[in-house]
Amino acid sequence: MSKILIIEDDPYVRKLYERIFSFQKHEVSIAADGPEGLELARTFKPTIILLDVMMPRMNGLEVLKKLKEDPATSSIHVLMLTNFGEESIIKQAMASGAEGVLIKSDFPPDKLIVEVEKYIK
Amino acid sequence: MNFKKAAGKKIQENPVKPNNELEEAKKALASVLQDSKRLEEKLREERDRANAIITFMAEGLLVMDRDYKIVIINPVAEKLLGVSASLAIGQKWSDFVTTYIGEKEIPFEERTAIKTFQSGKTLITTIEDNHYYKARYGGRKFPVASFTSSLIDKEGRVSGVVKVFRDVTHEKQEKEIIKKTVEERTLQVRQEQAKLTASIQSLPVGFMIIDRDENILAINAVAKKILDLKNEDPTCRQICEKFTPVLDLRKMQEKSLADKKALELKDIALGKKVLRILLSPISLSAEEIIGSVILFEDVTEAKILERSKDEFFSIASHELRTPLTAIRGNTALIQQYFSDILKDSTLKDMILDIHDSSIRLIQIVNDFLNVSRLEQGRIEFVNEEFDIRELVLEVFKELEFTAHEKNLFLKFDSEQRNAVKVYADRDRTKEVLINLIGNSLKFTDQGGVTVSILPNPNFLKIAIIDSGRGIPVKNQSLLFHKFQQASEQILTRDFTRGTGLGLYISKLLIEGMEGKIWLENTEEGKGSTFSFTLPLAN
Repeated sequence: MSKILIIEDDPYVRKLYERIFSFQKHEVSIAADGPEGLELARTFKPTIILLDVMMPRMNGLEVLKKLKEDPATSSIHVLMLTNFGEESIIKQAMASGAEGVLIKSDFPPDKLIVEVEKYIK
Repeated sequence: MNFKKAAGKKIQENPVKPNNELEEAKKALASVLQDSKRLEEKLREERDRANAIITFMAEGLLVMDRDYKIVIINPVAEKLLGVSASLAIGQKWSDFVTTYIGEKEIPFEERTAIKTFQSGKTLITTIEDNHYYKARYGGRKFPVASFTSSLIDKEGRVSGVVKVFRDVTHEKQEKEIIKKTVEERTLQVRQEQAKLTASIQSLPVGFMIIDRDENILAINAVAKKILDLKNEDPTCRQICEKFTPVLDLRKMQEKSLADKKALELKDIALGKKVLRILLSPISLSAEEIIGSVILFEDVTEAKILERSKDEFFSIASHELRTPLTAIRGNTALIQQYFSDILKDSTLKDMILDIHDSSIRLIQIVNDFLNVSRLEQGRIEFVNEEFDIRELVLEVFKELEFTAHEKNLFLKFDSEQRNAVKVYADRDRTKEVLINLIGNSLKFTDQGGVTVSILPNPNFLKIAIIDSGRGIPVKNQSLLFHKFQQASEQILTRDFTRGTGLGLYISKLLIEGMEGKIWLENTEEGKGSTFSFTLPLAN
């Protein structure tokens, strides 16, 4: 059992990811935007964060930078999830220290679990 | 000197022989008579010759005395005026024949004969002067060209007038025909010119013609509007300055002239506008270039539309994929974790349908996005060396289930025992292989699909051979086009339910990796072979 933090603004996708990993018996925490997510990253101390890119208030790339800047959160694995598959975004995310960028619609539950488990085992 | 001597002799002789005086006088008289006879003879000869000339000359001839009375008229003049000599002789020329300029009668004092008589000068009228004669008592009115000269007597006074004239009806007619033809042609040219001007003016693009010395020969209103030229006669310099420093239009024009080729300049910024400029040399022959045509097209609107289309695709992709992710994910979870609760088979089936439809919808969105990105060159190809054999086997593994379901074989036919390395984007190549082999499986009901590879000196050819139903001739030209399945009959969908973008995407991908893709052969009921090439790794 691992701690997984999901930072995702879309409520349906957020609930889906919560279910996927809860069913896998992981401890899941959820945040609906960047600031909330950054706060939880410090307090919840997850092993991995699933981070959305397009969000209100603060986008995923900004959240990623802050996570990597803060010594308390910099070692947490971050897997970016987006449906906005622009190459420029993928490059920026990788350069900022993300483990990977996944297109949400191309990663159904089973495939997503495989990806996440690379970092929690 | 001799004369003087002779005369001297005579004077000396006379007094010597005084008795012979009468005889001498007689002799002299006889000699004078003889001389005068000879002279008369000569004169008659001259007169006959003159008469012959007058009679047989091609022109009409008249001689008038100082009272303008006709004293001589030749047969041609008689014929032209339609009168006989007997009627004409003794008549005053001015009373006998009316003269005209065009329709207007020439007043007495203006008549050439009168003027010649008064001035002594020779007057010539040509066809251009538009003079006409009409005998008052007969004949027709006819156009003339004339030569009127004065006769001078011993005292140097004008004693009469000679007039030579000819009928220029025929020449006039010819000239009229020429004039008419020229007028007609001129009108035609004018009409053509008007048509051309009208079309240039009504062109939806800016149009300008300049000569080699950079003079503007023509410019339409659209060009002025696009270039924001307020003055009536803009100059080349003024236009060139508009583009400084973004573009050196003059240099571009010189280049187009030097290369003797049209030059297209895309996305040229002019203030807030975006222009497309086309420079084309105008040549009369292969050697002679007389100037340039320059077209200006305002593509600002199109650019904005294009940009908003790009943005639309990006946003649409994100917005559509997000709820689809939730549908697909949740239906997957239901099937995985709640299958024991779903006792009703219809309900199970319905959940499965929702799940499959969401996958299909995601595939459609992905295809649309890929096309949009590939068309705009927004997909980067990460080329690397990899073994194509390995990749084909990997693809086989992914499609194994589909093939097995339809009871079809997947065969890799290669004589190569070692790795065959190509230089391309591995993921994109995989996409193409999945598409082509997937298509083959889709359209094959018996037999299976064979993939063969054939290395050439510089590239590798990969062929996908199936034993499917083949492609009808009428559909072959549509392959590799956007929405090729829809083009035949938009309402009759292919039962395979594809987006019709697969082959088009494959083509864009292969071309993006410097390769080629084509339908090698196909036979209805027997199968098809699709081939593509990729560069070999060094």
